[in-house]
Amino acid sequence: MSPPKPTSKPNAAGADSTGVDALSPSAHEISMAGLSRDQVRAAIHEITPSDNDEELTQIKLTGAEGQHSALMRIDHPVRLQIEGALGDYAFAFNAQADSRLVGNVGNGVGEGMMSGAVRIRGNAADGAGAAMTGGTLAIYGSAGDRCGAGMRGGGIFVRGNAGNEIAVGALGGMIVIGGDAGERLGDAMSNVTIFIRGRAKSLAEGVTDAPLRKREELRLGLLLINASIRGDAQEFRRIIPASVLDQENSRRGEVNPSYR
Amino acid sequence: MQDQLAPLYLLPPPANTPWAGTPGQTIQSQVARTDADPLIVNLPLFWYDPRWSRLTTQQADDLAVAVSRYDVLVSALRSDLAGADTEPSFHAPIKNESDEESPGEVSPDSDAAFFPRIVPYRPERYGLNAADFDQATIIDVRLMMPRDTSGRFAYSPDQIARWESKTQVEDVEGSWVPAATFPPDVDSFENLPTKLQQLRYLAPSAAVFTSIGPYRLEEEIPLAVGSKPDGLIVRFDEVALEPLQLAALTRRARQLMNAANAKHTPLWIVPGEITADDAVKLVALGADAIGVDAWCNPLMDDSQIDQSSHYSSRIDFDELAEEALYDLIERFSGLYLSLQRVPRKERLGSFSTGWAKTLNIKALR
Repeated sequence: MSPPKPTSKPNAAGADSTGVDALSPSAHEISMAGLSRDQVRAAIHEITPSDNDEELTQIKLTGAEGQHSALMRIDHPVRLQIEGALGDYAFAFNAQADSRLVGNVGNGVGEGMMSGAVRIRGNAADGAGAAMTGGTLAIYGSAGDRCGAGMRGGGIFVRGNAGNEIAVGALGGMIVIGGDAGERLGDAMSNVTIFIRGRAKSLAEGVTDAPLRKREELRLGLLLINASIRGDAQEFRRIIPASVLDQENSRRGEVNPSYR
Repeated sequence: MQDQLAPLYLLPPPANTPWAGTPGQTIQSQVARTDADPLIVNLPLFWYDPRWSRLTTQQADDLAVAVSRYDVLVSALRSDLAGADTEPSFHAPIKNESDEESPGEVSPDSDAAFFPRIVPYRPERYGLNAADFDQATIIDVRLMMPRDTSGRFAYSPDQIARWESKTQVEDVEGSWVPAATFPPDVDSFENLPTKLQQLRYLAPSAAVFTSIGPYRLEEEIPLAVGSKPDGLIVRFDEVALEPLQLAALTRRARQLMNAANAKHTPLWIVPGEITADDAVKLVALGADAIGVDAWCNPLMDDSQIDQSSHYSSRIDFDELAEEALYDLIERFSGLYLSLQRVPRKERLGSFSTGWAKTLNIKALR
């Protein structure tokens, strides 16, 4: 039996022969049930994105039933809306897409993502945002261990609690934790800033608590608004490598010739 | 370089063997894959761990191409071989003669051929990009904490600077970055199959292998093959093994795989300093492919010497690779093909009672 053809039907009438609506760029629907990952990906990429950056073409994906490795390598400026749980490695290596999922996800959500956004209205298991290089990963529930491990850029927001070894081996980027964190927060991270509102069970060796500077308050405040996370930036503490704090302190008092 | 496994002999067929005509002249082998056609490996030799950051990106790209022209599988990320806005030649479709006449007109179509390539999938994934999965031959999920030349479990500043030049990473120059041993988004060996399956989706052209170190074979081989990789790589070059230890561990690794219901899963080993004769003997002991870092790494030294004396001219890596590899590969291929004439259990013998007993092979008298 041949596999079912990918179908992308617009919420309004008027689909063409490929199942992709050419007239109404704003809303489409694709069922993941019975389709291979490649077929779903191809169907998404077939949809013409909106010319308007402010109003992304919306694609509703149905049939999310905890599949592993779903919606990977999507590199298309569209908004994906998914209701239901996905398994491990959802949205891995994505770029441009703005993905919004209502449900829980497994390990490695957003692994290696390069740009765009992934918003999870649920919980994420271990290794969320591992090795990501750009974009925004927002988790509105809690995240498991090693969130942001090996990340090299981009931002991760966790509204709830995060597990152990957050940002382990991360080389760049920023992580915001609205709740508490587990043990060894910031283990072996290099050039990463963690903002945390609650408490960490322990900080890793070589990282330290640092005061929030005015410009970071402003930056974090904007980021919280963008990520729809309630709260005041002043409630957060900043966790950075001790070497970075030393550099900041040594720069204080330096005279900048350009001020004259 | 001297034969490490000189006490072992590749045995010819017994004297009463009938003249059987010309044996098959192919050295190709197949790697069975889950949910996909078998992968064809043209030559069972691979360069496991080139230290690309010792060279410029242009030199590294040229060297990778020169070595893989001999069908040696070469391990490299795009970021090892090129800057942010450059496509490495090693990752591009192989140009044929007509392409050479009209450069720039090569289009990656489904029939295009690519150099045989291993993608090192390290736990931290520094330097890895999504495009690395495209047209890959092997995805190598490394489950061993690497040591750098200093002995640290770490990546050196030059490696990190090479891999991360195109991302937002700044200010990590000058510092060592600690290495991990297990993917942070896999919570245990039990869930490793899901990771391997993810990589099969990401790299449909490739076979997905895992690689481990030599220290805990009894425990780690059953765990590693239990996750159903398409092949297993064991890195024996991590330790300075005595020749008999290398032979015995190769045989033991194969036995452990057989015992773990992975009899048909390829065993690739990285043995350290070996000759072509040694490589074929390791095949006879149970390995399916051999890491030839000991043959290829000196090409980087040669290039550095050249670089210091002729830094303005481009190094002819094709010539260097021919000098370094042609005879070795020819010898390996000849001996490898000769093995096919002899039943598997009768391929090796030794005049040394100790070697014969340890390896459970024919004692020659």
